Amino acid sequence: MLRFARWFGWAYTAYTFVFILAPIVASLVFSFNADRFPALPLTGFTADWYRATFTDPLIIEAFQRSLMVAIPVASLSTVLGFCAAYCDYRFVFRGKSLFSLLMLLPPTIPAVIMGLGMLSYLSRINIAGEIGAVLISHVVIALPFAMAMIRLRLAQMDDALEEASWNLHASPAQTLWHVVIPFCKQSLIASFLITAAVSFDEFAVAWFVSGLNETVPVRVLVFLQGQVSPVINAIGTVVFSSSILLVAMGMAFSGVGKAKQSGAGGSPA
Amino acid sequence: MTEALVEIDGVSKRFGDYTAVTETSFGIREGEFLAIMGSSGCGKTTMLRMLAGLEEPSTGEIRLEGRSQKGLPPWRRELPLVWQSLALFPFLSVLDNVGFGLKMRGVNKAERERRSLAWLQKLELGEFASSNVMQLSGGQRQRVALARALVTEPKVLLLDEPLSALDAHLSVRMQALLRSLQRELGITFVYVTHSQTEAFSMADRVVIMSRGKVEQIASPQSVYRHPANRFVAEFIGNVTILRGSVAEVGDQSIRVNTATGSMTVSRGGCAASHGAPADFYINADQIAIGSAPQHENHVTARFLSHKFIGNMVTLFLEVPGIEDDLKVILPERTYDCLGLQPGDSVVASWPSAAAHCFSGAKLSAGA
Repeated sequence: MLRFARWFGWAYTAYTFVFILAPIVASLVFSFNADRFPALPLTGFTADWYRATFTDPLIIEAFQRSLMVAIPVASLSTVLGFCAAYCDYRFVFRGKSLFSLLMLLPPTIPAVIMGLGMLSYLSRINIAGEIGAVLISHVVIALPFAMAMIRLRLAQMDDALEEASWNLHASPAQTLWHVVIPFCKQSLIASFLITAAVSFDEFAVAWFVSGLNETVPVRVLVFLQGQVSPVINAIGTVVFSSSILLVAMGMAFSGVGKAKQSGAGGSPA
Repeated sequence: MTEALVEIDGVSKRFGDYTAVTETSFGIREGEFLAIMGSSGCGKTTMLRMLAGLEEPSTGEIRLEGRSQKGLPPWRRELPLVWQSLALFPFLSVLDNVGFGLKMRGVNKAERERRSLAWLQKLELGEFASSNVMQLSGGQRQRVALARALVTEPKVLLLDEPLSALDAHLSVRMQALLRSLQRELGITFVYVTHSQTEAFSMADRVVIMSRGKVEQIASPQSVYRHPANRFVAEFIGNVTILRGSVAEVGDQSIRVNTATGSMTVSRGGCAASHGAPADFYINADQIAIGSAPQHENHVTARFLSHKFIGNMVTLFLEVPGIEDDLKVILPERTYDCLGLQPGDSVVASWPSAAAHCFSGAKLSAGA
């Protein structure tokens, strides 16, 4: 019975992964297929679609724009996320739970509502359609991820660590710089990488606010509307690979699966 | 008495409705090893945190060398603390952990490293200077924490139960190290602990606290032999407390009538008057056991049970008319020769010098 339960568990997990990954694998396979139409049997290997992708100025421009958005978004959300997480960790203040709720709210809002809201707000302050509009929207979306990751790391910090630093003549500002930030360093890097991935992949809100400044996902949709081309498989594979790479690096830095270090105490953790 | 290095003057601490420390005053002398002892929640750690500036007293003030520390944040005080959790910085090397305090004081890198290394060598950690603190053993981390606190050569070092995470063997070795370090450096140590062994083996003076109040401040010997009150006596646990009323007052001793008969108790410093209720205690290690009385005070008792504590044995005797068991501590050899079985009837006897009134108690009829 137990053996069956184990077997079933493995099978179910495998099925889930196949279900999630099959479309991506299909896209990957067909991106190298010589035939114009995604159909079996495969007709031969080609890198033409990748060549087409990296020579299309519109696509290159979209990639450049996505990077121009992703890097500042990642930096800004990590800095703001750290501030918010530290604030939540260190201080007790009136309305703290409301503050935390508001901080973590954006991912729960349907993307279309968020996009529409952003569009109407940003057009009112006359930056809708600018690259800055995408940047602002993406910070809003990515910030909760940054805050959650950094807050998790702070929760592992021994309360005595900051006090020990004050006790050794470090002012609160010096303590923040010499103790808290180094302690959170890995989660800061992880947060940077993952928020970059969030921005790079985000479609719905970018579609509303980007105007002519299309990011890669928006460019992909526009591309699809015009034609069905295997180039789309190549773009998809590139986007997926870069995102998965960012997330994997982020997870490696955040120490998922590693023993946590909460502070060097008297007994080994 | 010499001028106190640290003066705690009318200090109390409240957290909302909870009073952690009630108004307390005492001085800490230069160069002494002072242990603050008590069970958890007695206010000993709060007292230490107030010294370090991590808590601000609700009333009163703390003075270091006559300078009030009132309103001085922890980062402006010269009172380094060794944490129970050690609180070493896991992202820094051993050397950088030790040098942290110097860095924050703006000491240049070369000087910082020279001084940190000197301390590491002194504590036999020189070879670990570039290691990560996470790679060290418990005892080694302990010494890194000590070096980190001592590197700035403070006048006073605060220690918050630093040995509680170590095993018994290592703890004994660290106690010896702390004691010799303190003697050698002449630094004042303020050591908070719940362990009687640690406090008694290292301290010059012991402060016993209970529920936010200081119960007694004295040398370990006098706390052991002359507990100030019932609480201290029960906390140390090496005596039996009896209750009676004063029958006769002499120069050196008083006679007390108890439920098991009349006994002579050495008077010590207490003022006694005829007829007053009197609590007194008998030191467990000064009671003799036999079939006949060997000293002037004696009771017939029933042997209940015993407990080994190394080379000594604690016996528990039932005495008719008194509530608590009479505690007797005998060398293991002596106990062995008696060949007692539970239920045996024995005579316990003790000289009047083994029984004392609580020092500072006033045994007058109206009290």
